[in-house]
Amino acid sequence: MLTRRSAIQSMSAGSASLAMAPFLRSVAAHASGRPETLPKRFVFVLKSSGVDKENLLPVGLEGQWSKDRDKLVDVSLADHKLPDNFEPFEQIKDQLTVIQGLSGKNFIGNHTAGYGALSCHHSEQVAIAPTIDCMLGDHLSAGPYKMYGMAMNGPLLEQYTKGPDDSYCYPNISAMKAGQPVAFQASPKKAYMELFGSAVASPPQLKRELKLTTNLMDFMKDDARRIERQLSQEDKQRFARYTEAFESLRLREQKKVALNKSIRRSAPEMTNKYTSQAPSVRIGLHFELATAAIITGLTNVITLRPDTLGIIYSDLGISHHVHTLGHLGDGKTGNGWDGPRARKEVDKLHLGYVAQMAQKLKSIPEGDGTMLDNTMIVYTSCTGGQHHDGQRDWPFVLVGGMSEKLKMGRYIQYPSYQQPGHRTIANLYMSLLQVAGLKTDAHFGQLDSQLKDLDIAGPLEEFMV
Amino acid sequence: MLLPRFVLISIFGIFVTTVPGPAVLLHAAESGAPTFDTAVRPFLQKYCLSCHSGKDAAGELELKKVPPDFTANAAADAWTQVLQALQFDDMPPPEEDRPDPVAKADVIEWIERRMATSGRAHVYRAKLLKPEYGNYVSHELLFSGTISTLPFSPSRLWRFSPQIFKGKGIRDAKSPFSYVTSESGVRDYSATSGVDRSTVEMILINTNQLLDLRTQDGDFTDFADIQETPTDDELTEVIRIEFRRAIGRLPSQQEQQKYLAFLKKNIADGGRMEGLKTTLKAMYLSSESIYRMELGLGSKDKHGRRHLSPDEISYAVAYALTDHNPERNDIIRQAVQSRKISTQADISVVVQEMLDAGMNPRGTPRIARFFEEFFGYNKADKVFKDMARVREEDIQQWNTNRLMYEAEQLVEYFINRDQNVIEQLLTSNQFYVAHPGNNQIAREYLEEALRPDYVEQKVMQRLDAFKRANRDPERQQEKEELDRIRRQAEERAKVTGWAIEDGLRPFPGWPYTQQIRGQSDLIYIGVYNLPPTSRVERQHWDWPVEQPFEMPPDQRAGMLTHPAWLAAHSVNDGNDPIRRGRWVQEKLLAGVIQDVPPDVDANVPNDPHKTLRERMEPLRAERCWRCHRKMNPLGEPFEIFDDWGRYRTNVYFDEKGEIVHRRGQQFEKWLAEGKLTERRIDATGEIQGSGDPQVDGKVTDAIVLLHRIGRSDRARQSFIRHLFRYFMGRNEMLSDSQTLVAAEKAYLDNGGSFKALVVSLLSSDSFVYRR
Repeated sequence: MLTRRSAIQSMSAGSASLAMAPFLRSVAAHASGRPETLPKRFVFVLKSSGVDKENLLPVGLEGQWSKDRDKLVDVSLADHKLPDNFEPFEQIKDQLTVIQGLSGKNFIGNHTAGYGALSCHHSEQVAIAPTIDCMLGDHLSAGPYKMYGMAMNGPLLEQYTKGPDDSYCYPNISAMKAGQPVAFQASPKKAYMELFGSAVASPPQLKRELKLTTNLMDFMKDDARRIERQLSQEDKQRFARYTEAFESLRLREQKKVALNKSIRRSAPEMTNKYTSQAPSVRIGLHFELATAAIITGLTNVITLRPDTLGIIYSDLGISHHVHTLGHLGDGKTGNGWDGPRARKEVDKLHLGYVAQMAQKLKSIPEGDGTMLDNTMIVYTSCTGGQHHDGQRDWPFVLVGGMSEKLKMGRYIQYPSYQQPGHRTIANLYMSLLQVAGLKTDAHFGQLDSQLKDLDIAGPLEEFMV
Repeated sequence: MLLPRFVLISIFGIFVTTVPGPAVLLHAAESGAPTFDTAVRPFLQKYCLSCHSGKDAAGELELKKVPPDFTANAAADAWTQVLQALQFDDMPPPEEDRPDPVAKADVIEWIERRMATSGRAHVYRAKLLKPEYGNYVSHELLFSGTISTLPFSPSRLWRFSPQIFKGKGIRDAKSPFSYVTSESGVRDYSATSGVDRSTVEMILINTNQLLDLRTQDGDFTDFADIQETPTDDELTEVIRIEFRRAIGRLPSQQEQQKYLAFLKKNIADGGRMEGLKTTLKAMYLSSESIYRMELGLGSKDKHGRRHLSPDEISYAVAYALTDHNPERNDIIRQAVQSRKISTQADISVVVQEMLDAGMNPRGTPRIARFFEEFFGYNKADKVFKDMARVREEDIQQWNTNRLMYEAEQLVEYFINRDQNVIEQLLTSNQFYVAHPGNNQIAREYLEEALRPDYVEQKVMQRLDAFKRANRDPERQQEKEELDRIRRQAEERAKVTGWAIEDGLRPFPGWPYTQQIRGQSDLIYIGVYNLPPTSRVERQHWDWPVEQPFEMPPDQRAGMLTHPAWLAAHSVNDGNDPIRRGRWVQEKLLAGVIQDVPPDVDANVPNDPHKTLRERMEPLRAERCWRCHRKMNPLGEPFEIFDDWGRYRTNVYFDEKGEIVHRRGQQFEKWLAEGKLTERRIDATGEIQGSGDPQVDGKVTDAIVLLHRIGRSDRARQSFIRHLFRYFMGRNEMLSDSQTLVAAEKAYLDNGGSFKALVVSLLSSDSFVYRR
């Protein structure tokens, strides 16, 4: 069986420059299998148009959503059957936690909180703060990519590309920091070539590509040095970030070469699915690539954007855009489903892929457990619960583990907005940041002045071990 | 008594490093700087200690007990508090005498310097580089005319703006250069713009895409496929063409050599196609395709300032007024060719010529953008207005595009007329409404509409268009199109006929073109308190063919009474007096307002029985009023408008005592039935801190406020400060005083000429010297 350790140990030595040292150290540490050195990974899945919160209630708790909303509900999933959407999780429900009732009310936007969903800022179209996925990636990833994003589509890089599947795009989800949005790859084929291209390239091809990249980066650094000499001290500091970028891009390619054997072993099979336009196939490929990228160590953080308002799930027999489904109500879509049913089926499709990813990671031993024990998959929406939601209730489905630092196998429902004990999505994010080893302040992101009378500092106690 | 200080300031320049920003005071010669004993103690004694002493010291701040020692945290915090109170003009309290501005500046300087030497100034200084802190430099000192430090800008890299990137022609690629400055105000600041790994990655993505597309288009096929090995001359030619495409100019001999060697190495390592692509990537990633460089490569003067080289000047001027490099502008290109772009006099000639060619968004887009960034009327469409409100409040059509365009038309009119521009912009009751912006064009459309054969004329025009496009008029599609044209023309002729019957000048309508962003009805004009009508309705407004035309002078006074500005400075469901007041305070009075304290609840409580002003009454509590006194009295006078921009005198309440927002027929009916009570709007306010007792004082409404402020020295100077920031890409330093004083003089000496102002700023020492 492929194990994380054998995967890593099969890595080629590569050219171990000084800059590569931290990467190689981390690889060696991970390979040792000691729990404290095991890597931590996160996968964020942000669908559009809300996640219908009623569909997330375990059997027997259906009534909880509407009644006693001023109370905390915190129950073990072991005692409850999962709702039908969650069938694929039945076997791993001890590694599933559903959290409801968190708010993120000031992160508003037109159908989406945009960057605000992951940065806890009012920041729909312009990134004004780093998002949690990028923060985690920056902290955790020693591999070639700090984080990697894939989206079904989004504002295109430029209009002449063939279609949304053929290009990098900016789905307004992730940002390294203010003014620095992260481009997501929409084309599964291009993502494959970027991440696993070396698996299908011949050794001379690989060598040639690395040589050219090295040429380019060396040339850029040399060219920049010429300018640098003429700058003031302050400008030199600003300019240094530009020159450092070339080194880090070169390093990325070098790291990929170092991971080559592992990449070859874990790369998904390139089939004719990669040219499919069917939404569910493309989403499936994004999950497949993400799983393989995580296993290979290409990155420790992946963010997926499985749909946008403009997607039509034609292969599910749905004839309306995701947006229209939110307004469909009792009206019927192509296959006879009404709005809520169609939305539920879309969630079910996504959750099925999340479960597949989880199962795959669970099948790979790592330390005393499996890769899933050190991975957290976070499924939510960019705009809370329901279509056109006021973001007072923002549901989260969490799958995996974090070295037993988070309570899994729970259904936790917080008191509703402005009630004592109410918590926000920022509190959840602080929990994730802390278990990943990042220090947090008392708060994360912008505060909601309507909650000033509540204690909303720190992580979610009910979720932390 | 003032003399020693200004002598000292005049030698500051020698010690100034290249750190930009108002922190110039931080670099003063230690020997001549104000000290605690000479500046601070006397100031505290005179203005502060009467309240901040003893057991009952105001705010529990006993100033006598604060040592002049910044190493201790408590003392440093207390001094920071003093610094802010002085900068925000929060202390002494408004009812006390204002301190002498120079004495105040001395105390500020002393505190700033002590912060710097104790290592506490880093964060503070970084903040001061941002545009929203531009007003922190003493206004009185800047325009005192007594500062003799010679102006300069720091040598610097200035990352390209998103607009320049767009103009570089990498198809429609998303700009990797986004602003991180506040959305309200001047956006493009050199010190706040940076490039790091993620920006470089975005550029690389753009470049890869561009190269992929060009490969698909077959751009590189010849180069990749030819059998023979290309000669150095052939490779050099490729480099020259591609370099020009990527960078916007031809490479120097040295650059040519460097890229040739690089290309040959890449071809050897990766083959011809990939080798070429790698070489092209280097061009797009190079510092010159990311940064404007203003290092001062010209000669050095005896004060240690380096003049921009002619090359640098050509770029600096091109990017000051346009979004393209100098090669794209005929006037600059000719000046470069005839070597007439090296001195300040040369710049004056070039800039004057560019402005004389007509200031409009196409020719001088950066001028148009300044007014957008200064006034912010272009944000009218960013404020979401609910359609339910549009209907209920009888807004026939909420056409923000049109309103923003009409605000632009007005700006364009005043700046090209070029007389008392600032005053006119702030006080004139002349407006454009439903007009193509050009009277000649308006007359032509009117004449056409009045022709007896108007309908036939329209049909003939379309037939001609078919002919030019080789379209057969007998085909079904063309026939249908002609029918439609005829029907529309007949409708127009009917409405025109009615207008003539009613003794009105008919509104002719015109087709949409990029240039005049036309519209074909008067449906949206209700926000100007004019009677809206659709294209098929009987016209009620006597449409002025010659525009701008005069609106009622008691209702409109300049840009701040334009519906586009009012809407842009409103919220979803009403007015925003706080933001409007802040705008006036910062943009026209050069005032400063403290950052919003983190624990402030920015929500105004809802109460349907109260007017907005009444609902904001709690802000007059002492804790809030310290800041809000600088905003509310300047913003509340705009309550004579609703948030759509309509002038109003009354507010109406229903029988339950709740405010009635509904307008239109139902409202008129209730009014006629006596179901509504009315109350006159309270739009009173007050101007403080203009530096002129004739300007300060109570006002009855926004019209009075604007006429008073709009003609003031302070508003003119504040406008000039903002224009300075826009062109220089940084906040003014005290050492820019001479530039600002000269700019104001040029403006006034030329009858309030905006052109003279721009010429003066762009040929100033601040613009051409680096150090």
